[in-house]
Amino acid sequence: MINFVGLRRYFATLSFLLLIPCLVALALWQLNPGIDFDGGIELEVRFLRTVEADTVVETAEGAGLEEFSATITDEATFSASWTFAEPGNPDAEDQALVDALEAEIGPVQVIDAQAIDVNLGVELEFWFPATVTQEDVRDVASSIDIPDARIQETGDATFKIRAEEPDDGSIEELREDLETAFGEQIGDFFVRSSAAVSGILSAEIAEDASIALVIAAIAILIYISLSFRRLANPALYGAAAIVALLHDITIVVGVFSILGQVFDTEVNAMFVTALLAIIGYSVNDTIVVFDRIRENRLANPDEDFRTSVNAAITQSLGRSLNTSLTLIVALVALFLIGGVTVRPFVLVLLVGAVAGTYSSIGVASQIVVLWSEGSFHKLIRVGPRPARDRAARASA
Amino acid sequence: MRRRQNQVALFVIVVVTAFSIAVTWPGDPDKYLPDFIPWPSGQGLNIGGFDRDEFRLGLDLAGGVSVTLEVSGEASPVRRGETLNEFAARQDESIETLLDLNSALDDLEPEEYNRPIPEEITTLVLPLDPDLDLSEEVEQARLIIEERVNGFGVSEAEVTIVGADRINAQIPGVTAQEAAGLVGSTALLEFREVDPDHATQPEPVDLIDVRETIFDAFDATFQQENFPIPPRLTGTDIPDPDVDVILAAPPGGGAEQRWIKAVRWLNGEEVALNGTFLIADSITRTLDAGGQPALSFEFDDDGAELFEQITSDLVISQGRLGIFVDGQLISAPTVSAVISDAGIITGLDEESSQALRRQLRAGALPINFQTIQQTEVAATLGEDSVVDTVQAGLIAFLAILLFMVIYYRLPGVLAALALVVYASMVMATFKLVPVTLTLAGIGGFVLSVGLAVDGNILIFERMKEELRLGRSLQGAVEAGWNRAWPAIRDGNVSTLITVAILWLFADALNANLIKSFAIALLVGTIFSMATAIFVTRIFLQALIGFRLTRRPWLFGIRGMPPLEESAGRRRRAESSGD
Repeated sequence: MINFVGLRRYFATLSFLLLIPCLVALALWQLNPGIDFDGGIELEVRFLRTVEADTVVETAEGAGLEEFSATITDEATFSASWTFAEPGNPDAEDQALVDALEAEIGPVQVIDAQAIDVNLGVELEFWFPATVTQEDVRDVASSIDIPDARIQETGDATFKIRAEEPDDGSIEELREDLETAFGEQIGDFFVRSSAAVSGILSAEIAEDASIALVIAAIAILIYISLSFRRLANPALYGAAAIVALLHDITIVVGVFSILGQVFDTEVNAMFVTALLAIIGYSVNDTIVVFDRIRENRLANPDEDFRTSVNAAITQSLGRSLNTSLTLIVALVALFLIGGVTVRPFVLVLLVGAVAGTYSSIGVASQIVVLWSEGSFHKLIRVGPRPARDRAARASA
Repeated sequence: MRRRQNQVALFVIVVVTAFSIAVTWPGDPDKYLPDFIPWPSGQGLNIGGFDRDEFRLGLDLAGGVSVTLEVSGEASPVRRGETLNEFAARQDESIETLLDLNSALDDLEPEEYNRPIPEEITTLVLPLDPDLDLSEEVEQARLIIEERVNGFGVSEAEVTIVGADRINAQIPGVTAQEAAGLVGSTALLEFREVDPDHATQPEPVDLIDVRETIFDAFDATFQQENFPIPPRLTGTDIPDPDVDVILAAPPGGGAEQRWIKAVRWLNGEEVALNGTFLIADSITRTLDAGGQPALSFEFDDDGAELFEQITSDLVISQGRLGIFVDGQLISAPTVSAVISDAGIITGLDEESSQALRRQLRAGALPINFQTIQQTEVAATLGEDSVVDTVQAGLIAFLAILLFMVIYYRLPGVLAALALVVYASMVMATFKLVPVTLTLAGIGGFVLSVGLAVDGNILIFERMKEELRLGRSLQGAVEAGWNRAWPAIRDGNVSTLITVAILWLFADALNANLIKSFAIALLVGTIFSMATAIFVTRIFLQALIGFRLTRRPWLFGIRGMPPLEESAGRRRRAESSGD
């Protein structure tokens, strides 16, 4: 059995070391609100060079590719297929087409390359990015009176534009103006994604998100208190779980405050969803440890409380670590491969899962012990130890 | 007896899992799985009425536009030739209020307030009375948007009312520009008549005959030509002959061209009869002479003058009066007598009279909306996300299975199987219900896989403890499960509490995203509890009785003699090590 309760000063120190930078970051920078909370529009557009399918076919045939055919999809993506000149080297085939197209038409962006069959031929999906710089996009924004728009290059000839809700006019009109201006001043483009939220809604989202978080915490407090009613002081377990929860949420929110400052990471409605999920996870993890304390207390009511808690943490340690590890593996895979859109969402779950596992042992259980023993102030050893406390401990 | 039960349960699990995998298997597996293996593909499974189809994807994965509108004022029709001053006096509003609310009036100079309002402005927005119950108007507006979207030929669009005064439209496969046209402007009620220049006015026809011909021809080709056929006429809902649109839309000819606006003379001007002349409150449901549901309506004086001219012509020509809302033909009753200020539309059933009343009133008195939220995702971006997420999910899933097998040995293998059962059942549920999947929903699913793994780990850790205490295998399975259960229950219930709160706040936050997350987590949590209760336990019990399973190392336990199968009483002797 490991004496986890004896380590509580280390846990407290670690928690404070984690919490202080998070709180400082929150005080300094708050969070970087996305349009869900701030209102405005966000538009991701990709600028294309308009090329006819015939031009592509002519170029390819000129380069000597056999049985070549090409089609255009809706978003100016080409899908081409042809047979091998020499069997067995699809990469060389792809390169031959790309070289020919780049020489004749301009830069080519390959989306997907597939060998239909090693001996038969290849399929290549590609598009022609237009030559557009961030300054070009900035000029367009200035021309329609949104010079403060934030512009970010997110890929080849792909830009994300974020602008605030105009004082006179709707978000809908602003989006239309932007699209018209892009078409007139730069050229062909298609909208990869756009989002517009009016100030009315965003204020409401921010308010309701906070209320939702508070209600979730209260509901869980009530449930845990009911579930642990056979123990002395059931509300203590609920309260300890909530403190651990606040600890976890502060860390997650703090991390996002720092990320918002360093990488411009924004928080949106997805972020709140993930936070609510973390509430579920953190409490679930705490419950597993508490469940052991409950079982140990009910089996041996006369046992020293610290021993019960130490035993409970030791017994559930394997499970806690394994569960977190599997969840972390799953989340890391999603983070790395799952695409850019879900990354902030997954990151919340990832940080929250680690914090949630730690806080069950290092925060929630310790609070239960400290409170039962009435020895909270001893965490920071200042001044003489009051006698009242010694007596309380002796009776426990 | 118990063994027999267990065998039956095992068999059921195997059958359900096989079915779930068959349901879930993608039509084009090469997109997600390494393509050097010839995976079975194609939408093969078709049993009875059950046809395996695609997952229903949310707009962030399928591509499309989501728009949320909020009531921002009440639009009131402008009468032809009316000046702004007259309009303001009629509505008892100040000119300033009207100018504030209506950007269309921005170009108007003060000296123009006494001239007729420009013709292109058909309605003006009036301030909203906060005490007004607008639920009926919002429902009307929702119906109009729904009809427009359906008329546009978009499948699986959803138009729903959010809260009290908001409408959300989810329209897959369109751009933001197109969507703005579909949900933007307010509805217009028009009266039209058949163009006399194209008057292929019907010989007296046998309506039953005509109907059969039309419905025979009513196939995919027919729909693709984008006939303005109201949705309630599709399928088997054949309307009553008196409210007959069939004659208005014969196959082969664009029905729209055959109908022209009913224009007559009013004060020396040619004026088209439309909803602005209807007295909105007058549209009521009533009964006709035969006791059948009908709708009565009243025009104001100008409207009555126009309507009298139109109906007297129609009585002579035996033509029909086309009632159009937003360019969609709603009804085409025959006109039996000259009508001036009041009329009655007969030949309706209970349901269609209600619908028509809503639509007429909506045309006559629409409310004004403003866009408060709009998102658009291109189809290609959505498709990329799907492929990325599925691949990430598969890798994560395999890693978890591997971990379980290595760490927990034999029970780990069982847990891996239980997780396959779990994941396939959840995904089959997603597909069959169907649950709309979004990126958030997939996140919820991943989290629920975590919960399911946790349930299994809890059971195995407890079981291991019991085995170390010297319990028999049978006893350890039972005790392990019993002891793990409270923690599994409490953990899952607190997750369900979170789900419930997410659901309560979904409308306020970002309805589609959060609802999708909540539903995925709900389905996942329920199945996770069910797997922990049934599947894992049944698997473990199936093990008992095999000689092989008596080796402790298979359970990750070192330094113990072979395990007892059941009811062994070695416990006391061995438990000193704890």
